[in-house]
Amino acid sequence: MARTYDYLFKLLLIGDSGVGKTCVLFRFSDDSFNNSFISTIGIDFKIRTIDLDGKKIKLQIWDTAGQERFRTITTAYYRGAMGIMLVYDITNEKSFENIKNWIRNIEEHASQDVERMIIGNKCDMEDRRVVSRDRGQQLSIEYGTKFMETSAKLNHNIEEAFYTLARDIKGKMERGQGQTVGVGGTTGRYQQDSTIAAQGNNLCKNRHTFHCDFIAF
Amino acid sequence: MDGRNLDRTASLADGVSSDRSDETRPFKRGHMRRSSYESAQIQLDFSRRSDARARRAASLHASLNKPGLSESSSAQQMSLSDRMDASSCEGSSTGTTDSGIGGDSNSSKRSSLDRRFEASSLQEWESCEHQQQPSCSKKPPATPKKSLSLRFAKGIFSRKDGRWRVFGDRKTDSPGLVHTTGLILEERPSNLPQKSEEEAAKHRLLYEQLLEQAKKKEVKVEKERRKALEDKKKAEEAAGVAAKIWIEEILPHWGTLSDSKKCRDLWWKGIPGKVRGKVWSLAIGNSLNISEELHNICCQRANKEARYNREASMAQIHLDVSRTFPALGIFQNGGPYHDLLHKLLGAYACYRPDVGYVQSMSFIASILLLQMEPFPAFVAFANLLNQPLQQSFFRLKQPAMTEYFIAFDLFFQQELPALHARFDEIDLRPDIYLIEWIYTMFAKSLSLDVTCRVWDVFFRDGEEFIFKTALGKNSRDTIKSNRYSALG
Repeated sequence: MARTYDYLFKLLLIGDSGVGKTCVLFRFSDDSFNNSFISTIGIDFKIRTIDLDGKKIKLQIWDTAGQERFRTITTAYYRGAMGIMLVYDITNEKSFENIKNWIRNIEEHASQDVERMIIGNKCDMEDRRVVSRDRGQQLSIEYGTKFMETSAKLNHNIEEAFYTLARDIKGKMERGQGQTVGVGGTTGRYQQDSTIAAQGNNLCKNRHTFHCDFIAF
Repeated sequence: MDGRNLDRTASLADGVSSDRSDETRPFKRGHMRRSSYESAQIQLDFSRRSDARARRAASLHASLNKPGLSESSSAQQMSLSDRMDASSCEGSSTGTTDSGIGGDSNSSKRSSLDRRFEASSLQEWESCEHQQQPSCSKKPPATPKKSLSLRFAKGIFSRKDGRWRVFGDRKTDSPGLVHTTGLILEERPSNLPQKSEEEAAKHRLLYEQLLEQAKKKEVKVEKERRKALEDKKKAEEAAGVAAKIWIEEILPHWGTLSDSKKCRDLWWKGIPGKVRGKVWSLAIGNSLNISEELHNICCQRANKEARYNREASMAQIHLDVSRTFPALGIFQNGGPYHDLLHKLLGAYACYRPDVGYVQSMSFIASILLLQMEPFPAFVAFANLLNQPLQQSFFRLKQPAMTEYFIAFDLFFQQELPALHARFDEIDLRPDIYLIEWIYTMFAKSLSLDVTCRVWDVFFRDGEEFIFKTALGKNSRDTIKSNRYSALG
């Protein structure tokens, strides 16, 4: 199958439950909005190919469950990500405070040079705002990331956010190791540090070779 | 009167008054006819065909002639068409019993989308008509008023310079029969040289063959429809019989009969909705010995502790309850099951603070609540979550979860090697899809009916069936869509 894109970027959306990660993603991938999205269980993904400075870039965007409890599952998918969007809800103080926890998570589990971006979602709900734009801005400066306020509902800044992140990744990539990135980059397999997983993979492999031998005879 | 109904319910395609076009524009030869019919009878029926459809077409025509009115502008047009209704019903009272349009009452049930589609195809024909007009002169044998007002829908076939045209239309006398094919045998337009006898005979023969085929097709469709109806009836009867067996024979002797072949066979075919809750309850059992008293205590505690400690389970529950099956609208704030679901999840979080609330529990609890009363639902929920597979996942025992993933992977490789190889190639690991499927027990990815059906067998066969379903879903999903190829 001929490849229809120049680069493949894997992006990840993280943030507290209910901040609108799935809505942001749906707005970007399907250009639709639904007030009653159902909660994401574990992990999900969407694809969209964009045109950036003459290059076709396929964005494979992973959406994660927000609940604290699922972090052990979702962090397994951090490794393959080239860009991470940290989403909070401007009407929810706690989700904003938790951004620093999510950043810590990234530092622990994602690759060192991952592009990060902080997103303050639901900026259409000005009347219920509790986190000012300035605070969001301040936090992003603190962590050296880009910052945007978005509204999935009104389709405000959604495209811009993804394009900006993609452009940053592309820039970094082209400055860095040339064009070797693109394919590969493992999606989270089983927990990296799980010995059973390692055994399991070996098991699979052994089984595979066994099969081959069998056929060869 | 059919026409009346139709126009009352008619929406977008029905435009402004039809009077003008009805009366002032005589039918001309070559005028595009808007008609729907079943057979060659059409030519005989020509003059009898009418009216509601006619009016619709004519009104559309009128609206086309007034560029200011788009067909989708709503309120004003609706009132206009209502008014028109009254007047044109009087005018059309002569021929409305014609079977040729017998489907109108039927068509009134059609969605506005269909109408819009018809309207647009109508528009195409209209423009066609205008082009053709100059070359047409001979009048057909129909009365001007009625013939003009015939409506045709999507043309599936047309041979402008030939002798016949085939129009497809949706339609008519038997309810449920959606499409039929109408055929007209027409003379060659007078401005063209007449056909030779031979040619005419040949075309007539072709025409008859076409008719024959169309008739056969209709008979076939009708037969299928009847069969579907019969099957449905049979299924309903079977479900009735099954329900009776469940209620009268199996449930009273659950202890001895639940493992019998008869029961298991019946079980495999699905549990009738009537007894589903009961059977599930019995199948899950209550090894935790949860009493009604305990349930009440948990409910009360949940009530008090609006904010429950473990990562604010209560807040999360509050958020998720409204996000459970939003399409059903019964778990949302103000819906009849909102409080029940909230209570059940809260009570469980109090009952098992070590587990608390984990997202996706809302799906499982909601399905149980749909089948049984609050207390049995709580018992079933707690006991279901106490099973090994659920324990591993809801308590996030990573190694155990991994074992399940690996077991499934091997199972997958063994059963569907080619698909497994392809999944490997694009680095699609089972955890990506299994997590959601296992946590929600398919409640999120399958329809409610199918989910219940899967759960039926899950309660019979245990966790193994979850993985079998996953396998079935993999092969089906992959065949149906190439969603996962996006990963490559």
